[in-house]
Amino acid sequence: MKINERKIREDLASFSVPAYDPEKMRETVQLAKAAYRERQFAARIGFWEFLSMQLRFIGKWVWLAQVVLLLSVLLAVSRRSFAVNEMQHVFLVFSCAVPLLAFLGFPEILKSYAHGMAEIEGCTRFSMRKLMGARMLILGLADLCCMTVILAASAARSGTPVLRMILYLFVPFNVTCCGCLTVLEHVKSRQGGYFCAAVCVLCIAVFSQLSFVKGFYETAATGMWIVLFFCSLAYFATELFRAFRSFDRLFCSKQETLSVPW
Amino acid sequence: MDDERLIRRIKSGDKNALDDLIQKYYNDIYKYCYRKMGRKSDAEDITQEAFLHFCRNFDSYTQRGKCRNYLYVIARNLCANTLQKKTSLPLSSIKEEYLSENDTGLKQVDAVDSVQAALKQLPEEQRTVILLRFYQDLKLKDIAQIVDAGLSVTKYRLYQGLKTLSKLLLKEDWL
Amino acid sequence: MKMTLNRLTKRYKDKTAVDSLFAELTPGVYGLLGANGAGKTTLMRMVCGILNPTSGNVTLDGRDTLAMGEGYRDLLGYLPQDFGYYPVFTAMDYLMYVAALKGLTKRAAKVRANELLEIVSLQTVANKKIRAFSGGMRQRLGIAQALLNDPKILVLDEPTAGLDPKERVRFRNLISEISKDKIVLFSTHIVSDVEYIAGTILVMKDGRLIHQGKPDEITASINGYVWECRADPREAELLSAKYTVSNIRHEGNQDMLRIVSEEKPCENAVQVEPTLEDLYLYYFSEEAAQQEKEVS
Repeated sequence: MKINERKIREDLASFSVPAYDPEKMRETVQLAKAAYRERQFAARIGFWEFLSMQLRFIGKWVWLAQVVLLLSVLLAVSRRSFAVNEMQHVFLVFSCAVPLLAFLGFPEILKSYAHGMAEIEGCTRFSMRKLMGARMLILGLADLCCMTVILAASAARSGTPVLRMILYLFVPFNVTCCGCLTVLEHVKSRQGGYFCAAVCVLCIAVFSQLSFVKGFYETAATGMWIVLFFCSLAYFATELFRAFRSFDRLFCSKQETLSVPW
Repeated sequence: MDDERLIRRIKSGDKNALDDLIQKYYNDIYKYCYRKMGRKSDAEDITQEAFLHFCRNFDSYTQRGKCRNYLYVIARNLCANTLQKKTSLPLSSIKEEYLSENDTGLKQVDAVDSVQAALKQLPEEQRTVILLRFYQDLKLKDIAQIVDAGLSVTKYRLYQGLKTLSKLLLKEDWL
Repeated sequence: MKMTLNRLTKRYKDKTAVDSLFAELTPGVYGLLGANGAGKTTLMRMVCGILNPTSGNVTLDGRDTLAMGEGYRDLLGYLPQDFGYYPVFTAMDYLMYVAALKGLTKRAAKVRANELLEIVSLQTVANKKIRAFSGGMRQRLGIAQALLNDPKILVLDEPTAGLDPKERVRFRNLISEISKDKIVLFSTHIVSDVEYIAGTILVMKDGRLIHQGKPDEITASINGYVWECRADPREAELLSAKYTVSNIRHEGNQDMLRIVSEEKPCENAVQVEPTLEDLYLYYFSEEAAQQEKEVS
């Protein structure tokens, strides 16, 4: 059968539609705006998006200080005038100075307490634990990257085996972190930053002194360094756990730590 | 203003952007719903609900298709849900509503009767294609997207729908 | 929505800050009235979940708020009495930062921050550093951050501190506007704030809730204890030393005193309708006197 589309169109056109009520359309606009707004404000970000947003709020001075430290190291390493044994001494300096890298992030982590923001931050969706966790993750990864760059840069020029270099860098780093985490656990105020600085200075002094002790940085002492490394790692993990437990403890003693779900 | 720009404006928080979007498509969606439902109040309610649904689920509109098509999809689903819940109204009541809304002669009312009756006799998929093609002036490509079918299937449904309509309307003319 | 404070207690070594406090809060505005050291801030911290009660708990529709965790904190907006800020932050940075902590998307945070800055009249200084703000401006910013997530439960500790009278009126209007379907709990020393905004007043003394009710209900509790009497200046001085005087008005060569006392203070004293201020003095006159001493 031949379809007369034009005829059908004419017939269909008779089915007209009454005009809509303009008031109904206005109501639709109002309700639509309210619905959109509700949706917009009901949406919540996940932890990873939160993490990326926290990156923006880390103080620029931290990144600047890390860049300066890294550039100094790279500058020292790139000096062609240093012989291999001189480079070993330069690397010892890095080992003694690495507590500085560990320390750099802690005032940033502690700033909630130092600036009286903890009370507000503690009541938000992402609790103090997640906030501190995010800061520690960002700064910890940054530190790890820096240490990797120092290692990689030094490995080529220094005659020291890579394993020993890892130990010489990570043991002072771990020890400093442990000290600062202990401070973080017990001191929730502006003074925390000063105590962390004291820990850093102490660690630099101790490892500097040890660098003058004959045999401390020798091959024979590698076993001792390995033990130190694992001990400091275990202590680091313990202090990290304790520090996390303490983050929700703003106003009460150790015995009253909240068992707040994450 | 094209849809992409409108969506960008809505996302950026422009308070008037939603206004503009609704102004742009309200009439089309309303007409479509009216021809589906046959009652003005139902059409207006479903049109409103379609826009509210669009706003509530704005994130899921990924702009893979046109905004207009997405609105038609929502409207189509809402009409189907509503029709499922309601029992079909007798033609006489539709005639009454039409008379009250449009003060026209009986001849036109009878013409509406026959067109509506003819459309009602079509299977749902064919009716949808006919409505979107002849009343909303959409391209077959867009219709295919709205009904979530291939282009050839859509063309086939259009052809079948026209064939059936032709028979029905021709029969009416003779009568 | 119903929040229940179930026998909340906070005991320290040397004192009990909150003592077995029970209250049921439904949507509305609650004014917490009490002198310094009454336990208001401790109570608010426990409600917000940042301080662990010694015993008792806070439930929301039957669910323990501590167990609810982030689900509860999502409904909460809190303005502490003393709150800090990061010195490098501008007002917008601050709100965006807190919005991120509250889980708002970046887009929603931007829209909401702009809206709130306008509401608290800080939109012109949105990009200025907070350290340049006056006390009143910082307080308004604090109120704005508490409202970012459109909280169902708003806890404000001394929200009008540092605000001038005009700002206080604006704050009252803001609370009245936003308090629909919300539980708003705010503490203050300023009796007029409580009088104008609060639908229910909670009077707290020494860690306990001594009164709870609508303003006229609780002032009725001191019916017969408020007097007005006329006296010459010498007699007025004697009466002031002996009784709690809520107001002295000089009328020519005589003074009109408003006295809060359980006994009739003088021969010509007549009983008058008590106000909330009279109630505050009735319960907290010792603390008020102590504060005056400290200030002088």
